[in-house]
Amino acid sequence: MKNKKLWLILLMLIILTPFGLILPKLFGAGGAWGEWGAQEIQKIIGYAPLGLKRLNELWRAPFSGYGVRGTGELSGYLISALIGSVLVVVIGFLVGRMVARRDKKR
Amino acid sequence: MHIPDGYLGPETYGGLWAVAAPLWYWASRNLKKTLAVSEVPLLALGAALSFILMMFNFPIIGGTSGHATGAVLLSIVLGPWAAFLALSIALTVQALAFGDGGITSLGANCMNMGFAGVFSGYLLYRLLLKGNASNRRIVIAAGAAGYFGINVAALLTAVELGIQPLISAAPDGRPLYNPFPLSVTVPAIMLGHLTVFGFVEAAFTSIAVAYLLKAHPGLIKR
Repeated sequence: MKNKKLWLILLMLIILTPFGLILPKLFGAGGAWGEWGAQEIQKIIGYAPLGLKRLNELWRAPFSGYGVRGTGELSGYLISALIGSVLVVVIGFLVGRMVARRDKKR
Repeated sequence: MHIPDGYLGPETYGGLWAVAAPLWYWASRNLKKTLAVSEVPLLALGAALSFILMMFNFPIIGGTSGHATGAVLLSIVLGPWAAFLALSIALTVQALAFGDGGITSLGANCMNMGFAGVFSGYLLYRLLLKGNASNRRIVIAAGAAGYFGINVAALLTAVELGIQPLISAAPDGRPLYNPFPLSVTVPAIMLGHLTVFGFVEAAFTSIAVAYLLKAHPGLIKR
Protein backbone atom coordinates (compact mmCIF):
# COMPACT_ATOMS: atom_id res chain seq x y z
CA MET A 1 0.00 0.00 0.00
CA LYS A 2 1.19 3.50 -0.82
CA ASN A 3 2.00 5.75 2.13
CA LYS A 4 2.01 2.73 4.42
CA LYS A 5 3.67 4.73 7.18
CA LEU A 6 0.84 7.25 7.22
CA TRP A 7 -1.73 4.47 7.66
CA LEU A 8 0.35 3.12 10.56
CA ILE A 9 0.29 6.58 12.16
CA LEU A 10 -3.51 6.55 11.87
CA LEU A 11 -3.59 3.12 13.54
CA MET A 12 -1.37 4.40 16.33
CA LEU A 13 -3.66 7.38 16.89
CA ILE A 14 -6.69 5.05 16.97
CA ILE A 15 -5.05 3.03 19.72
CA LEU A 16 -4.33 6.23 21.67
CA THR A 17 -7.92 7.60 21.49
CA PRO A 18 -8.85 6.53 25.07
CA PHE A 19 -6.53 9.31 26.22
CA GLY A 20 -8.99 11.71 24.61
CA LEU A 21 -11.51 10.47 27.17
CA ILE A 22 -9.15 10.28 30.15
CA LEU A 23 -7.49 13.69 29.78
CA PRO A 24 -10.59 15.91 30.33
CA LYS A 25 -11.59 13.78 33.35
CA LEU A 26 -8.14 14.14 34.85
CA PHE A 27 -8.56 17.91 34.79
CA GLY A 28 -12.17 17.90 35.92
CA ALA A 29 -13.40 19.26 32.59
CA GLY A 30 -16.86 18.40 31.26
CA GLY A 31 -17.90 17.79 27.68
CA ALA A 32 -17.92 20.38 24.92
CA TRP A 33 -19.86 23.59 25.53
CA GLY A 34 -23.37 23.61 24.07
CA GLU A 35 -23.58 19.89 23.30
CA TRP A 36 -25.87 18.99 26.20
CA GLY A 37 -28.99 16.84 25.94
CA ALA A 38 -32.43 18.26 26.77
CA GLN A 39 -32.29 16.96 30.37
CA GLU A 40 -28.93 18.59 30.99
CA ILE A 41 -30.22 21.88 29.59
CA GLN A 42 -33.15 21.62 31.99
CA LYS A 43 -30.70 21.32 34.87
CA ILE A 44 -28.70 24.33 33.70
CA ILE A 45 -31.48 26.86 32.98
CA GLY A 46 -34.47 25.30 34.73
CA TYR A 47 -36.42 24.29 31.63
CA ALA A 48 -35.90 22.58 28.29
CA PRO A 49 -36.85 24.76 25.29
CA LEU A 50 -39.79 23.11 23.47
CA GLY A 51 -38.21 22.95 20.02
CA LEU A 52 -34.92 21.74 21.40
CA LYS A 53 -36.66 18.96 23.32
CA ARG A 54 -38.65 17.93 20.24
CA LEU A 55 -35.65 17.72 17.89
CA ASN A 56 -33.01 16.56 20.33
CA GLU A 57 -34.07 12.91 20.36
CA LEU A 58 -34.72 12.80 16.63
CA TRP A 59 -31.99 10.27 15.99
CA ARG A 60 -30.71 7.53 18.24
CA ALA A 61 -27.19 6.72 17.14
CA PRO A 62 -26.17 3.06 17.53
CA PHE A 63 -22.94 3.98 19.34
CA SER A 64 -24.16 7.13 21.02
CA GLY A 65 -21.41 9.10 22.78
CA TYR A 66 -18.75 6.78 21.31
CA GLY A 67 -19.93 3.96 23.59
CA VAL A 68 -20.56 0.34 22.69
CA ARG A 69 -23.19 -1.54 24.66
CA GLY A 70 -21.72 -4.33 26.79
CA THR A 71 -18.24 -2.83 26.93
CA GLY A 72 -16.52 -0.52 29.38
CA GLU A 73 -16.21 3.20 28.80
CA LEU A 74 -12.60 3.11 27.60
CA SER A 75 -12.88 -0.08 25.54
CA GLY A 76 -16.12 1.23 24.03
CA TYR A 77 -14.35 4.44 23.06
CA LEU A 78 -11.52 2.45 21.46
CA ILE A 79 -13.93 0.15 19.60
CA SER A 80 -15.85 3.26 18.44
CA ALA A 81 -12.61 4.73 17.12
CA LEU A 82 -12.02 1.53 15.14
CA ILE A 83 -15.60 1.25 13.82
CA GLY A 84 -15.68 4.95 12.95
CA SER A 85 -12.36 4.85 11.12
CA VAL A 86 -13.41 1.84 9.05
CA LEU A 87 -16.71 3.55 8.15
CA VAL A 88 -15.00 6.82 7.25
CA VAL A 89 -12.31 5.08 5.18
CA VAL A 90 -14.88 2.98 3.28
CA ILE A 91 -17.10 6.00 2.57
CA GLY A 92 -14.00 8.04 1.76
CA PHE A 93 -12.99 5.50 -0.87
CA LEU A 94 -16.52 5.30 -2.32
CA VAL A 95 -16.98 9.06 -2.52
CA GLY A 96 -13.41 9.52 -3.72
CA ARG A 97 -13.85 7.01 -6.53
CA MET A 98 -17.10 8.70 -7.51
CA VAL A 99 -15.67 12.19 -7.76
CA ALA A 100 -12.06 11.57 -8.84
CA ARG A 101 -10.86 12.36 -12.32
CA ARG A 102 -10.89 9.37 -14.64
CA ASP A 103 -7.36 8.97 -15.92
CA LYS A 104 -7.18 7.48 -19.38
CA LYS A 105 -5.67 4.00 -19.23
CA ARG A 106 -2.32 3.82 -20.95
CA MET B 1 -18.38 22.51 18.07
CA HIS B 2 -20.68 19.70 16.89
CA ILE B 3 -24.11 21.33 17.09
CA PRO B 4 -26.65 18.70 18.25
CA ASP B 5 -30.24 18.40 16.98
CA GLY B 6 -32.57 20.93 18.57
CA TYR B 7 -30.15 23.80 19.06
CA LEU B 8 -30.87 25.37 15.67
CA GLY B 9 -34.34 26.24 14.40
CA PRO B 10 -35.47 25.21 10.90
CA GLU B 11 -34.63 28.59 9.34
CA THR B 12 -31.02 28.19 10.40
CA TYR B 13 -30.43 24.49 9.85
CA GLY B 14 -32.47 24.51 6.64
CA GLY B 15 -30.61 27.55 5.37
CA LEU B 16 -27.24 25.97 6.07
CA TRP B 17 -28.26 22.68 4.37
CA ALA B 18 -29.28 24.81 1.39
CA VAL B 19 -25.83 26.40 1.31
CA ALA B 20 -23.92 23.16 1.93
CA ALA B 21 -25.63 21.08 -0.78
CA PRO B 22 -24.55 23.17 -3.79
CA LEU B 23 -21.07 23.46 -2.29
CA TRP B 24 -20.77 19.64 -2.13
CA TYR B 25 -21.87 19.52 -5.76
CA TRP B 26 -19.35 22.23 -6.65
CA ALA B 27 -16.64 20.33 -4.75
CA SER B 28 -17.36 17.15 -6.71
CA ARG B 29 -17.31 19.06 -10.01
CA ASN B 30 -14.01 20.63 -9.06
CA LEU B 31 -12.46 17.31 -7.96
CA LYS B 32 -13.49 15.67 -11.21
CA LYS B 33 -10.82 17.86 -12.78
CA THR B 34 -8.23 18.01 -10.01
CA LEU B 35 -8.32 14.80 -7.91
CA ALA B 36 -6.49 11.84 -9.43
CA VAL B 37 -7.75 8.31 -8.75
CA SER B 38 -4.37 7.64 -7.17
CA GLU B 39 -5.11 10.33 -4.58
CA VAL B 40 -8.34 8.69 -3.41
CA PRO B 41 -6.67 6.62 -0.64
CA LEU B 42 -5.18 9.84 0.71
CA LEU B 43 -8.64 11.41 0.82
CA ALA B 44 -9.98 8.41 2.76
CA LEU B 45 -6.97 8.50 5.09
CA GLY B 46 -7.37 12.23 5.64
CA ALA B 47 -11.06 11.87 6.47
CA ALA B 48 -10.26 9.12 8.99
CA LEU B 49 -7.46 11.20 10.51
CA SER B 50 -9.89 14.07 11.03
CA PHE B 51 -12.44 11.70 12.57
CA ILE B 52 -9.87 10.33 15.03
CA LEU B 53 -8.40 13.74 15.81
CA MET B 54 -11.82 14.94 16.96
CA MET B 55 -11.88 12.10 19.52
CA PHE B 56 -8.88 13.60 21.33
CA ASN B 57 -10.60 15.94 23.76
CA PHE B 58 -8.47 18.53 25.46
CA PRO B 59 -9.69 20.11 28.69
CA ILE B 60 -9.87 23.63 29.93
CA ILE B 61 -9.26 23.04 33.62
CA GLY B 62 -12.55 22.86 35.48
CA GLY B 63 -14.43 23.89 32.35
CA THR B 64 -15.34 22.30 29.09
CA SER B 65 -13.34 20.35 26.55
CA GLY B 66 -12.70 20.57 22.83
CA HIS B 67 -10.61 19.17 20.03
CA ALA B 68 -8.68 19.87 16.85
CA THR B 69 -10.22 19.09 13.45
CA GLY B 70 -7.29 18.66 11.05
CA ALA B 71 -9.13 20.86 8.52
CA VAL B 72 -6.14 22.97 7.49
CA LEU B 73 -3.68 20.06 7.35
CA LEU B 74 -6.07 18.27 5.01
CA SER B 75 -6.44 21.37 2.84
CA ILE B 76 -2.65 21.70 2.52
CA VAL B 77 -2.26 18.07 1.45
CA LEU B 78 -5.46 17.45 -0.53
CA GLY B 79 -6.52 20.95 -1.55
CA PRO B 80 -9.47 22.77 0.06
CA TRP B 81 -12.31 21.13 -1.91
CA ALA B 82 -11.16 17.59 -1.12
CA ALA B 83 -10.58 18.63 2.50
CA PHE B 84 -14.14 20.01 2.67
CA LEU B 85 -15.49 16.67 1.40
CA ALA B 86 -13.25 14.66 3.76
CA LEU B 87 -14.41 16.69 6.77
CA SER B 88 -18.02 16.30 5.64
CA ILE B 89 -17.62 12.51 5.51
CA ALA B 90 -16.09 12.41 9.01
CA LEU B 91 -18.87 14.66 10.38
CA THR B 92 -21.58 12.54 8.75
CA VAL B 93 -20.28 9.33 10.33
CA GLN B 94 -19.95 11.10 13.68
CA ALA B 95 -23.58 12.23 13.52
CA LEU B 96 -25.12 8.99 12.23
CA ALA B 97 -23.12 6.36 14.10
CA PHE B 98 -22.06 8.18 17.26
CA GLY B 99 -24.64 10.92 17.82
CA ASP B 100 -21.86 13.55 17.81
CA GLY B 101 -23.58 16.46 16.11
CA GLY B 102 -27.19 16.29 14.94
CA ILE B 103 -28.86 15.22 11.71
CA THR B 104 -30.79 18.45 11.19
CA SER B 105 -27.62 20.37 12.05
CA LEU B 106 -25.28 18.29 9.88
CA GLY B 107 -25.36 20.93 7.14
CA ALA B 108 -24.40 23.57 9.71
CA ASN B 109 -21.58 21.48 11.14
CA CYS B 110 -20.22 20.75 7.66
CA MET B 111 -20.36 24.46 6.82
CA ASN B 112 -18.63 25.50 10.07
CA MET B 113 -15.90 22.91 10.63
CA GLY B 114 -15.79 21.74 7.01
CA PHE B 115 -16.22 24.66 4.64
CA ALA B 116 -15.40 27.71 6.77
CA GLY B 117 -12.69 25.99 8.82
CA VAL B 118 -10.99 24.67 5.70
CA PHE B 119 -11.22 27.66 3.38
CA SER B 120 -10.44 30.42 5.90
CA GLY B 121 -7.35 28.53 7.09
CA TYR B 122 -6.26 27.58 3.59
CA LEU B 123 -6.56 31.18 2.34
CA LEU B 124 -4.41 32.42 5.21
CA TYR B 125 -1.86 29.66 4.50
CA ARG B 126 -1.62 30.74 0.87
CA LEU B 127 -1.34 34.41 1.86
CA LEU B 128 1.45 33.74 4.35
CA LEU B 129 3.43 31.73 1.83
CA LYS B 130 3.39 34.34 -0.89
CA GLY B 131 6.79 34.58 -2.49
CA ASN B 132 8.71 32.64 0.13
CA ALA B 133 8.15 28.94 0.68
CA SER B 134 11.08 27.81 2.79
CA ASN B 135 10.29 24.76 4.92
CA ARG B 136 10.44 26.78 8.10
CA ARG B 137 7.97 29.30 6.72
CA ILE B 138 5.62 26.54 5.55
CA VAL B 139 5.55 24.98 9.03
CA ILE B 140 4.82 28.31 10.73
CA ALA B 141 2.21 29.33 8.15
CA ALA B 142 0.48 25.96 8.54
CA GLY B 143 0.26 26.39 12.31
CA ALA B 144 -1.05 29.94 12.06
CA ALA B 145 -3.59 28.85 9.46
CA GLY B 146 -4.72 25.97 11.69
CA TYR B 147 -5.25 28.37 14.58
CA PHE B 148 -7.18 30.80 12.39
CA GLY B 149 -9.33 28.18 10.66
CA ILE B 150 -10.62 26.51 13.81
CA ASN B 151 -11.40 29.89 15.36
CA VAL B 152 -13.38 31.01 12.32
CA ALA B 153 -15.32 27.75 12.55
CA ALA B 154 -15.89 28.29 16.28
CA LEU B 155 -17.09 31.87 15.79
CA LEU B 156 -19.60 30.82 13.12
CA THR B 157 -20.87 28.07 15.41
CA ALA B 158 -21.27 30.55 18.27
CA VAL B 159 -23.14 33.04 16.06
CA GLU B 160 -25.51 30.42 14.62
CA LEU B 161 -26.33 29.28 18.16
CA GLY B 162 -26.52 32.78 19.60
CA ILE B 163 -29.03 34.15 17.09
CA GLN B 164 -31.59 31.46 17.97
CA PRO B 165 -33.20 33.38 20.86
CA LEU B 166 -33.49 36.38 18.49
CA ILE B 167 -35.30 34.60 15.68
CA SER B 168 -37.68 32.19 17.39
CA ALA B 169 -39.65 31.98 20.59
CA ALA B 170 -42.26 29.66 22.10
CA PRO B 171 -45.78 31.04 22.71
CA ASP B 172 -44.74 31.89 26.27
CA GLY B 173 -41.91 34.05 24.95
CA ARG B 174 -39.13 31.70 26.01
CA PRO B 175 -36.51 30.54 23.50
CA LEU B 176 -37.59 27.64 21.33
CA TYR B 177 -34.15 26.26 20.42
CA ASN B 178 -30.71 27.13 21.82
CA PRO B 179 -31.63 29.37 24.79
CA PHE B 180 -28.31 31.17 25.18
CA PRO B 181 -27.91 34.62 23.57
CA LEU B 182 -24.88 35.78 21.56
CA SER B 183 -23.47 37.45 24.68
CA VAL B 184 -23.15 33.95 26.18
CA THR B 185 -22.38 31.70 23.19
CA VAL B 186 -19.58 33.82 21.71
CA PRO B 187 -17.46 34.13 24.88
CA ALA B 188 -18.21 30.56 26.00
CA ILE B 189 -17.13 28.99 22.72
CA MET B 190 -14.38 31.45 21.74
CA LEU B 191 -12.63 31.41 25.10
CA GLY B 192 -11.71 27.74 24.79
CA HIS B 193 -10.78 27.97 21.13
CA LEU B 194 -8.71 31.15 21.37
CA THR B 195 -6.78 29.94 24.43
CA VAL B 196 -6.49 26.15 24.15
CA PHE B 197 -8.06 24.30 21.21
CA GLY B 198 -6.72 26.77 18.63
CA PHE B 199 -3.19 26.10 19.85
CA VAL B 200 -3.83 22.35 19.84
CA GLU B 201 -4.87 22.67 16.20
CA ALA B 202 -1.84 24.88 15.43
CA ALA B 203 0.60 22.49 17.10
CA PHE B 204 -0.91 19.47 15.38
CA THR B 205 -0.91 21.15 11.96
CA SER B 206 2.69 22.37 12.29
CA ILE B 207 4.02 19.04 13.56
CA ALA B 208 2.19 17.07 10.87
CA VAL B 209 3.40 19.42 8.11
CA ALA B 210 6.98 19.35 9.43
CA TYR B 211 6.87 15.54 9.43
CA LEU B 212 5.41 15.39 5.92
CA LEU B 213 8.01 17.84 4.58
CA LYS B 214 10.67 15.44 5.82
CA ALA B 215 9.10 12.07 5.06
CA HIS B 216 6.74 12.82 2.13
CA PRO B 217 7.71 16.23 0.71
CA GLY B 218 5.62 15.58 -2.40
CA LEU B 219 2.43 15.73 -0.32
CA ILE B 220 2.81 19.36 0.76
CA LYS B 221 1.38 21.89 -1.68
CA ARG B 222 3.62 24.94 -1.75
